[in-house]
Amino acid sequence: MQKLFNRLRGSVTAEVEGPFLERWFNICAAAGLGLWDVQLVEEGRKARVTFSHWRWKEAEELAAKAMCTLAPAGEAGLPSFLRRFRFRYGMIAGAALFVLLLTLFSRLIMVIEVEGNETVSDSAILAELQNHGFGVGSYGPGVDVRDLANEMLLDMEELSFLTVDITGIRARVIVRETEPVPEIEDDTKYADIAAATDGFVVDMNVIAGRPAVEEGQAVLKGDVLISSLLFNERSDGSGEIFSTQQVRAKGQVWAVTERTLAASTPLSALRTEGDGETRRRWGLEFLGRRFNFYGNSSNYDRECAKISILYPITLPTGQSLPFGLWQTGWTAWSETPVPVNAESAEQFLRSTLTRRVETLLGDGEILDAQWQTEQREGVITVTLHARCLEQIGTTVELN
Amino acid sequence: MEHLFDRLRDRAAETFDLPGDIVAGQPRMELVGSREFWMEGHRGILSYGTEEIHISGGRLVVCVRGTELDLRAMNANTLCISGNITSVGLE
Repeated sequence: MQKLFNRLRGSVTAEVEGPFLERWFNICAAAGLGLWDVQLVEEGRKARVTFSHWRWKEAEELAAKAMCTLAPAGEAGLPSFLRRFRFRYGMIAGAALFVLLLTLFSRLIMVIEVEGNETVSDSAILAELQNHGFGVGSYGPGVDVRDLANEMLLDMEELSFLTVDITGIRARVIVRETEPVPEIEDDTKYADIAAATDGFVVDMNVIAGRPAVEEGQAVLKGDVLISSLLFNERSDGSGEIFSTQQVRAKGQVWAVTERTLAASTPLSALRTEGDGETRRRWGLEFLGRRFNFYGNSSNYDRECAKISILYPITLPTGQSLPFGLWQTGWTAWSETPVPVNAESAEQFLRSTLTRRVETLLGDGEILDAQWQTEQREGVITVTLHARCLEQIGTTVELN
Repeated sequence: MEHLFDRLRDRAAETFDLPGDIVAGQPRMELVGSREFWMEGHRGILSYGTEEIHISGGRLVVCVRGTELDLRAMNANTLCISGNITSVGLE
């Protein structure tokens, strides 16, 4: 331990010369200046001694008092090691720059993690944060978390809570999403259930109101299916109506409907083909900013596809750092008209129409489907005649 | 007068069987084999050489003799001499 301490504080070896060496030893010891490794170089006149580096000046003064001279003969330890570098300005500047950059970068946000979101995507939150000036490369201590959270909550109604926890280079954005308010029907407003489309009623499920049609009856779009007006009859069996009551009609009316949908597409298409001419350029990604090593990126005399790929620097743990290389490639292309296979086009149109009908039906189903295909003037048209079972009742509020 | 107090302190240390180096401020010496000599409570070096070193111990002078003697360490209270020590004498 003592050796380590001596190494750290540094020691100097000096040659002391004079007629009264012993006197110098004694006054040094009396002054608390410890000496070690005292070796006589010349009997009675000259000796080599070692003492603490930082007491050199004091030792010199004491030597003068003892009528001796002191000459350095070597030094060891950390101070002398560091003094070797005092004229290496480049190294000193490099070390200073390193410390400066380390200090600066350790305060910049390098990684942003979003937690607590389910329906709102990470990218949407990060983009909004970026709009408010917070992103990779932001100076951590300069972020006013409270202001940022308030502004974010004002701009993103989907979020009910947001906070940012900054630890070193990492920022955790913790959010809570707004609970969707359930739709509340206003029972004080009277309403009928009317037909949304033409059809044959096959089933009725009346919760409130009076059935205005019967099962098996054909209805047109807009016909009242469940009326909001209730008739109260006398209980003596006379059938006499003694009062009326209006309610908000509720219920479901299932009917068989006919739906006709059509879709068409041309039987030729333009195919894009690269002609092999590709130009690549590189850029640097640094803390969310991109620095291109080229100019005139948009000037290209032909039509071309531009594809940029980011190669981020990734840690062994799989986490990407905000540094990387951008490769941007421009590939010239040309368009050639090519014929489209009619069968493939028909299959594509059929699947498209089926999806559209299913979307329209909701919980309903297709009972029977008839397809009609027609080709005219280079265009293929597919028509679907579908017999469907669907819920056709829709609420119509009364004024 | 000073000698009187020194004698009184020596006598007190002897009478009460107390350590003389603490009570009377007498030097304490330790010889480790024949290679190392330690002395606490010295009053300075009187003469220094590779074959003979004289150290003041107050009322007595300690003479360390030998060959290749070195003052390995020295501070205000303690010193250490190393080398081939052949004798340690009081004068």
